[in-house]
Amino acid sequence: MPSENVVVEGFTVVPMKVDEKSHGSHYLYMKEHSVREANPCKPRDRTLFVLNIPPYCTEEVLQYMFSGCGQVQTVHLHNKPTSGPSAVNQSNFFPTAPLIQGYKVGYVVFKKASSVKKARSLPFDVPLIMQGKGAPTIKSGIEKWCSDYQADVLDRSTLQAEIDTYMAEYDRKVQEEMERAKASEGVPDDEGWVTVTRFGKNKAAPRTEAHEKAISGKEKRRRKEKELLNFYSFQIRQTKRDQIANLRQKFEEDKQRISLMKEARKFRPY
Amino acid sequence: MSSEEEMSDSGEDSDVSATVEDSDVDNSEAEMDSVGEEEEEEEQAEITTGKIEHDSRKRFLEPSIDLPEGVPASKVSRNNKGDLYRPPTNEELNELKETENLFHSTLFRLQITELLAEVIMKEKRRKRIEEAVEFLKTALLNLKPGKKYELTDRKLLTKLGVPVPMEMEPESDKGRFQFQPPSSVNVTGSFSAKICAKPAVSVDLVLSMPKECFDGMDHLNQRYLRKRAIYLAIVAKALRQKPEVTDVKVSYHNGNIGDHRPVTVHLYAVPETGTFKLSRFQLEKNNVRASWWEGQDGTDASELPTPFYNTSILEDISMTTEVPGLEKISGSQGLREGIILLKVWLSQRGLNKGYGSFSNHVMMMYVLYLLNQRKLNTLMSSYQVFRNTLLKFSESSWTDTGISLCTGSQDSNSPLVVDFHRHFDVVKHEASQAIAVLEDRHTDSFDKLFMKKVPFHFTFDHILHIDMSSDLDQMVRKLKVESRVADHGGSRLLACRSAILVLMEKALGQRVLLIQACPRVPPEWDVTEPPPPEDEASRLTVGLTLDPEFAFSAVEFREFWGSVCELRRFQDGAICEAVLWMQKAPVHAGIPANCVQYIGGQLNSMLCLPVTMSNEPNTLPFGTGDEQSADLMKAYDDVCKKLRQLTDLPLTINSVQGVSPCFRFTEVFPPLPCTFRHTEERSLEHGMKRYVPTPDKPCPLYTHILKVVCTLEGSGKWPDDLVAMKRLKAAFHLQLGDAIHTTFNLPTRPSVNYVDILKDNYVFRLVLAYTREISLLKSVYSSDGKLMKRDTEEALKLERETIALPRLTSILHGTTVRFAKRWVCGHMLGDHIHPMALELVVASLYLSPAPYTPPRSGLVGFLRFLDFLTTFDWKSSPLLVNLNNEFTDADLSEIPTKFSKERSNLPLMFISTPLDPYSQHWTKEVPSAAVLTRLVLLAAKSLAVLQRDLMQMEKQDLTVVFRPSLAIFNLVIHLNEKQLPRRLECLDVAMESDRVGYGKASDKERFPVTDFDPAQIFLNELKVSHVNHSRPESCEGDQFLLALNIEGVIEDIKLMGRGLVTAIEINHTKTS
Repeated sequence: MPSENVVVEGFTVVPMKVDEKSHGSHYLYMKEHSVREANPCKPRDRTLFVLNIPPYCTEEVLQYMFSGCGQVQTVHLHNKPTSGPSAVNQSNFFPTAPLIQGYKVGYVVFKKASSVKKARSLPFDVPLIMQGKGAPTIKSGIEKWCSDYQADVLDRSTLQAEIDTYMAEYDRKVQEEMERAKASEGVPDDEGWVTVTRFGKNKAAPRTEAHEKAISGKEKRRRKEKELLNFYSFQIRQTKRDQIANLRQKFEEDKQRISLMKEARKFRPY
Repeated sequence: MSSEEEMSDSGEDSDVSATVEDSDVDNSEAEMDSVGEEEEEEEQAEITTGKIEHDSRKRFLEPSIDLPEGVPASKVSRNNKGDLYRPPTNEELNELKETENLFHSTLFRLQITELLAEVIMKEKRRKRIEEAVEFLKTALLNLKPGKKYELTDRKLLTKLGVPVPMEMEPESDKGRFQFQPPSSVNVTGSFSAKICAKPAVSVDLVLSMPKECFDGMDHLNQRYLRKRAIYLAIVAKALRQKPEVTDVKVSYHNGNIGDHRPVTVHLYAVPETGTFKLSRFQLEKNNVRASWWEGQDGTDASELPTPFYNTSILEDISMTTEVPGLEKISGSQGLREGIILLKVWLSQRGLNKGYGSFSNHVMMMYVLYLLNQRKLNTLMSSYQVFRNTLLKFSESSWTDTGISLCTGSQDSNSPLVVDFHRHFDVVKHEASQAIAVLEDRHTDSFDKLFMKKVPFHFTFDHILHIDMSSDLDQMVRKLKVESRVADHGGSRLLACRSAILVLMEKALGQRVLLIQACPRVPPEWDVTEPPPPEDEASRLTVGLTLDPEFAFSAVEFREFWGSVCELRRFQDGAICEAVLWMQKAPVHAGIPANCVQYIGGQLNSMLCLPVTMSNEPNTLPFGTGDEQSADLMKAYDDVCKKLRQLTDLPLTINSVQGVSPCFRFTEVFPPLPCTFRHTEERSLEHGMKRYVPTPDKPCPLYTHILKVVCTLEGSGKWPDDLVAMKRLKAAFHLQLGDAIHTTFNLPTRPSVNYVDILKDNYVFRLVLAYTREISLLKSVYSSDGKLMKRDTEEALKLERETIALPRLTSILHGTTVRFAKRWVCGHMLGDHIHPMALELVVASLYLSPAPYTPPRSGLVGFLRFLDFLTTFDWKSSPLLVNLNNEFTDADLSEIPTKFSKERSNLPLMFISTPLDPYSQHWTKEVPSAAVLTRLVLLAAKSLAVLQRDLMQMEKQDLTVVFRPSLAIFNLVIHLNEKQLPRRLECLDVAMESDRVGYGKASDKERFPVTDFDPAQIFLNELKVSHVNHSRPESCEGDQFLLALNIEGVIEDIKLMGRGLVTAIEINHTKTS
């Protein structure tokens, strides 16, 4: 093994361990964050892009691990690499941001650009330690699950309040929309077009797939009713021929199935 | 020939009519060689079968690979469209018409043709056999007459030089015997009628023993049978001296000669016509004098009739009688093929072998009878012959009216042979089943009728073994069948058999449809050896098929069983009389109860929990959990009632339906009320009315959450926006919780997505559902603003939970599922297959049970489940589960078509139900091909073990079937038992001290720790975090090879499962 820094396909590989005593180690893959349209929360020169971060590794732990390379400003964790900031939940009760689970990717934003270079040149044979001196503790196992269970308490009044405000806002919006639609009913725009709304005398047909299907089906049925069958002798002949052709085709299909079965030796009873 | 003669063919067996069989009878060396070659060819063919199967397995593993047909049918038809419209020839038209008129369907016809081609003997081979038979005939006719012997001579047997295939006890009283060459040798039976069916091709040769061999009173006291035995022994000895005859074996009559040599020749020795007067063998006549049998003087007045003995001799006599109309059969192709189909059908069900069976000969005679009655005619197709015969059979009742082949029948003496009748009932039952299968247009009747084997223990709901080894004599006395023993030629087992069956029939009355003793194939042995002693130590295996209407209710039951029975409550709430077989019942009717092994009970221990009801002595212990289920259902009904009583809700609840498996009785271990004695395991949270787990204490026992879906009434006031709808629903949950709490004073715990309520120590989780939410989730706007409905992942999930599950819960139920689930979980595949998929598979066993009846006991259901898994071809056939018969005809034809067209896009395990015709709900993600293959393999192995063990008398350890093999895993993680809330459910908690007491609820106010299973959480965490475990391994130039980082994985597992994981075992053979 090379003792200095190891690079695989542009990524610097650095081992990391839970603590000094642990036997196995994980390998972090990292390089400079470089995208065309950089977001201000991840400045191009000061951000280190890290792959293969274990699920139990939190922002604080990462911050601790990379503090050796220089002061860390923030850490962003994602399921997949993105240039934008982490999604923030709008509500405590109705999560909108995706849950970050499993192995994840991280963006470590340093205070100084030189820290990124320092991190890039970390040696392969000195592992980073997650649970060293002064490190934030990792909660896992029974301890974590018990505390998760204990934390699962619903704050009823807050929830009720949140719902109430949201619904009031929603109702107001719907009301506004309706009033606007009502007001514009029958009023032509600049070019003279009139938009049909739900509130006028002649309601517009809904623009849905199901509705279109129903209309075209009706049309087909009507056409079929009008058609004369078995009127001309050529029609009669044709139906007979069709019948035989049908039988033949079925026969052919069956024969094919039989030959398949024969291949699978399905005709040996014992 | 009178009817009884015809019947006697299968009715008898007790006499030892020896048959000599030889094979490879060829008179030239060269021909022998060619036969050998043919055999070799066959073997090679066998090997290629194996290969093909192997290939298909491979294909099975790779679902993305296209189906083997390569060119789909539609494409072919398009290619030769002109061909389809060419003018039809007369022949073609005829054939198409014929198929339409005479057969079930084109496919069925083709299948039958293929089957017949496989089974019928080829002309070339037939010629060779004929030559061999001719040779044998001349050899037999040229035998030399022997010396005269006295039958009473003790040295007779040693003088003969060959062992006589019969027991000579007690000694013969008088008579002499001189060997004479047979007066004639004829070929009879299937070979002469050209209806031989492979693989057991046999030729029946009838040797007529000349009159000179017999004296006037030879029909008495087994003298005839003994003479016949000696005659055959001499013939066998003579044949052995011929170099061409390789193998001579002796067997009891009706035995199927099991070796698969090209030809077997059965020799039947029969007396020449006119030797005995037929009237001597009337059923009511006695031909075995008790005085001789018991070796003492008796008065003739008390002689009992010996029907078995009589019919067995009659059968011999009738063998030479020419049956009119046999040439009609050999002349008509349809009839011949029909009989062959019937033969295949019989032998797949094992009905034509063993004592008291419905042999091929009887079947042929029956067809002949129908032909004479003009129910069949010679122009019928094979399908019509098959169908009509079975139809007539299922309609007939031979117990009331006998049938006769004789046109001028004197007296249709209804046959009395009890055993035959029982067997007849079985055949009749099977026949009606077969007709039902034929009637059903939707099933693949061909496979079920002709290709599927129907073993004994799959057919019956319950199987009992009765140990006959002890007290056989005592049993004979108690059953009062002493006189019958003489009739059966001294076999006490056979004498008891029918008596026991009659007794059981009486005992079980209407509650059983069918009772059948397992037919035993008589042994065969080499001529040079003495006959094996009769297997008196063997057991009687009896199968019972229950009648669902009467099975669980009994009126006369109590009278019969007397004090043994007791009141038991079953899971459907019915209170019944039942005999608890597990208990030691007193000796009844000569059958000691501990000699009767009730196999079904053995598996039930799989469903037991080691739990005692310590505080309430009146409650029942956890048996198979049926009582617990009933208790739970009571609480559930109460909850439903209460929900409907709620008035102060803005919208009413339209329907309430439980969706947890326990509501359809399919939870492996029905949930117990959460009244643990071990309260110290949990901590009470301050200010909250609930218990919580803490890391420093052992994990509390698992409390199930019982999910109940409540559908709300429709209303125009719901918002059209999903986000707003979610918020409103949450508000609804809060309100529902409050309403229940204030109205009924029950503890509730509302949440955003559900409300938990604690009722009778069960935790119910109410989930509100609104159907419009699904349609909103499905709606997608196209680029031009058109609204479309598309199945999105989220919509499907919601649909599954709020529509599909409640409906399925109202349909499905059963114990079999519990066995099936336990088995799958036992093999650690529980996470890799959706439990609902298993439930649907089991449901299909009940809905289309052909060729059996629907299973009515858990064990037989489980056996069939395993059998289904091993035999069903998931790759090329869809499983249609026609719940409530909701599939229309159009569906039934459309689904298979679509299935075969889009096979590669559809789930591997394709289960179609009326709710979910394209298997989108339960089998889309799991199981994977590897898991399914493993499941099939495991099922085959488990089935083999079960089959072996079930037919054994001793109590077997059936848990083996449920034990996983850990050899295939790379890592085995050992968990801390104290932290497993479901520790009681494992296979090996037998220790009495481990039992956990359930008692009265001490605390009705506080919620227990619900749905908290560290092992499951741990597993889920591991599942989502197994992404990247590679590390750079070695350096070659500037290239790094990535390898599995085992140490890293172990470190991860240790950290993530802190407190739960005790040890990790590495399987080095796998990882290195």
